[in-house]
Amino acid sequence: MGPGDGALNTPRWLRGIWLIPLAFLLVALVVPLVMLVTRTWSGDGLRILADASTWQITSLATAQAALSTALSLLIGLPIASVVSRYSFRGRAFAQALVTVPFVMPTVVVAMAFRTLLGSSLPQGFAIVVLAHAYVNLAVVVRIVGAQWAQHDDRYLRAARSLGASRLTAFRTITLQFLRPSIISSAVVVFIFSFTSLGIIVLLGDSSTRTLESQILRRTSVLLDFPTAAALALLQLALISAVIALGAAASRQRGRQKPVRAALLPLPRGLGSRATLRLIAIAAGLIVLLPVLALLIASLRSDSGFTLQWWRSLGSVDAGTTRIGSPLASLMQSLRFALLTGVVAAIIGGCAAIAVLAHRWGRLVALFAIIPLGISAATLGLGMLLAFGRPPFDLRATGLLIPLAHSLVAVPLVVAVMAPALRGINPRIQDVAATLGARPTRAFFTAYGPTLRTVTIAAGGLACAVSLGEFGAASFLARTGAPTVPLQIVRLVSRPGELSTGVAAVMSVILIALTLALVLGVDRLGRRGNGLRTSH
Amino acid sequence: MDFALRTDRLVVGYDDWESGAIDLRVGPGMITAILGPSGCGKSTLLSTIAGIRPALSGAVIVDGVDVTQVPAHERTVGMVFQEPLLFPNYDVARNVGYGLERQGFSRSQARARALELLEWVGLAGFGDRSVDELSGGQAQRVALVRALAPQPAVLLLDEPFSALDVDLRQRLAQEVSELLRDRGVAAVHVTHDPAEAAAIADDVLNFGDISA
Repeated sequence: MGPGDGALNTPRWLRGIWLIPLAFLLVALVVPLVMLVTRTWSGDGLRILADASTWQITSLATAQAALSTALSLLIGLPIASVVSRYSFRGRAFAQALVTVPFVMPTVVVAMAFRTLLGSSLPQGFAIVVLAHAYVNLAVVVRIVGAQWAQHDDRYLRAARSLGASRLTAFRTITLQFLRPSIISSAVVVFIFSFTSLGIIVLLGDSSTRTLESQILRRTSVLLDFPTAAALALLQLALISAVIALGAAASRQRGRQKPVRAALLPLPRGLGSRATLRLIAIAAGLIVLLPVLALLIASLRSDSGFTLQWWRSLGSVDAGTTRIGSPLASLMQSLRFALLTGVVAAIIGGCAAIAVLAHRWGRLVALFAIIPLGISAATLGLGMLLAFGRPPFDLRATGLLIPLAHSLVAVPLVVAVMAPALRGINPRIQDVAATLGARPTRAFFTAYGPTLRTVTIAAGGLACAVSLGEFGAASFLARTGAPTVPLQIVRLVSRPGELSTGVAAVMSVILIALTLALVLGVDRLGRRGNGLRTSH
Repeated sequence: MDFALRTDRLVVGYDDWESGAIDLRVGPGMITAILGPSGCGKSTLLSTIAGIRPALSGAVIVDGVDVTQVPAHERTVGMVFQEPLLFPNYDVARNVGYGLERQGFSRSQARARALELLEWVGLAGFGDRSVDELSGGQAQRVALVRALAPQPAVLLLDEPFSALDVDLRQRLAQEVSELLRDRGVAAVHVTHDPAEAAAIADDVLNFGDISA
């Protein structure tokens, strides 16, 4: 059945629209995954599973991801308790601020941590765990905070009146209520840290290897595709197991009812008020310090403040290849981002519309979410195996990176667009039909205004994803044409003040671009379908 | 006699429910009310007559022409729903002129006509307003003139006052009844409120009787 009541006034093209995302996913997702599996089987890659080093890396990465998750929760939960429950001046700003690290490209976060802590903390386990906690702070604050905001305080008061101490009440009532969101945020943070690549490459040492970094090493250094493919499949299996465990653990019986709770005023007691303020200020510092460190590094040389690094952006000498300046890299990244924005918005948009129009649409939209659970290296390697060599060598066309980035961005596009479209009353389309509008016109009368806004918003988000993406690009970029995150990693690995300075400049530019896109998307989202035209 | 609307052995329904064969006759300029409890299938009948839903069997005949296979946008059947369902991105006048634009009138012609119609239902000066600025009663009046603007042969009213409070509901029912008679439009009005049915219609039918 179509939107609204009738299959009768559903435009004919709408009924087939699910075929577009399906075709894209078959080409960009299924073919590469099939290539991964066949390479593993045909090339004796499975031998790596019997190798002790594989399991050593797996357990190290598990320990690293577990610690990163614990630290994210430790820092994130107090922040969530403040920004999601209390009303205070600057609350919206604080919420936006906490999101900043999550939208920052991981390579840039790594650069920031190197700049901030590089002299006091050597590369390795500790700095990697810190950087992961920083990036994933927003995951904990957003997911747990959203649930905390719905906690009914009366359960807590009931427990206190029955003699429970403050701590016991918190443990038995609040934590129980928050359990599902804590577990799901922990699962997300664990997977991000377990499959981390950009941060590992820039901040890690031999103690922080991940399967992801091994896949990259096997592919680009050792050219051992079967083993890399086997590791990618192993990682996929482990992630699936973690997701399944998390789903099982967050099931609970006898849940407290959530309420739409009002924000609390800050408590009166001087001590608790000061504690909350302290948490808010600490959160601000935690988020802003690394960014500030980068900004200062982009303006500083050994001999004092300078604009030298900014001026050398256009110079080939400041780049890492003989043919491209950092500026050329930036243009390359912008081209890829633009293409990704357009492709992901079209494919994700079709999937979101298909949800409305066809029962296959819902399946295709679910299918389109899958790339979220597959690591960047797995996607990158799969694409390289499928389309990076003859007979299908797309690398020279410059389409392979935008294709991979689109695949990564499509789930986000669907997540932004589908709820917005579902929020529209499908009967508006029926009204338009009874007023004489042809099916296509009726569809756009109902959905057009929202579709326009959310397509632009989702496309912007896809651009931001592409600008910062490092994992897949590191498999697919040709030597002469690095994207900005690749360029940053290469610059950092070279000695010399010029390289570090220019890497800091490029990081600052990347932060500025990403923030502008994400803030723009946020504004558009808030405007929603409040568009009105009269003439 | 020529009927403005006739249904011949019309069977309507959805996944797991279907009505009996319905034979409905509505003369020109007549208002017929169909009474029945919520969820009994009255709205499904109207959606089928409007062409939004397919008929399971039987025929819908408007002004002597069998329109059973004609899509909604080519039928001369207007419909007002329980909620006003105004287009939120258009102002009030553009909402009212929407059907006229679909008939080929220019946007300015449609707007001029829309402003006249708005004046006629006591909403003079509302043309430039956003639909969010309207009260429930005003919005439903706009929905009504929007449906009447393209001059449909039959107007279907699907409990259009059910979301309004009692006082307003009675007043608006009276107003609508007068408006429809004034313009000589044939109408089918479904409601679960017998008093409203009696106030507005020439003929009151029970959905249970006609769809048995």
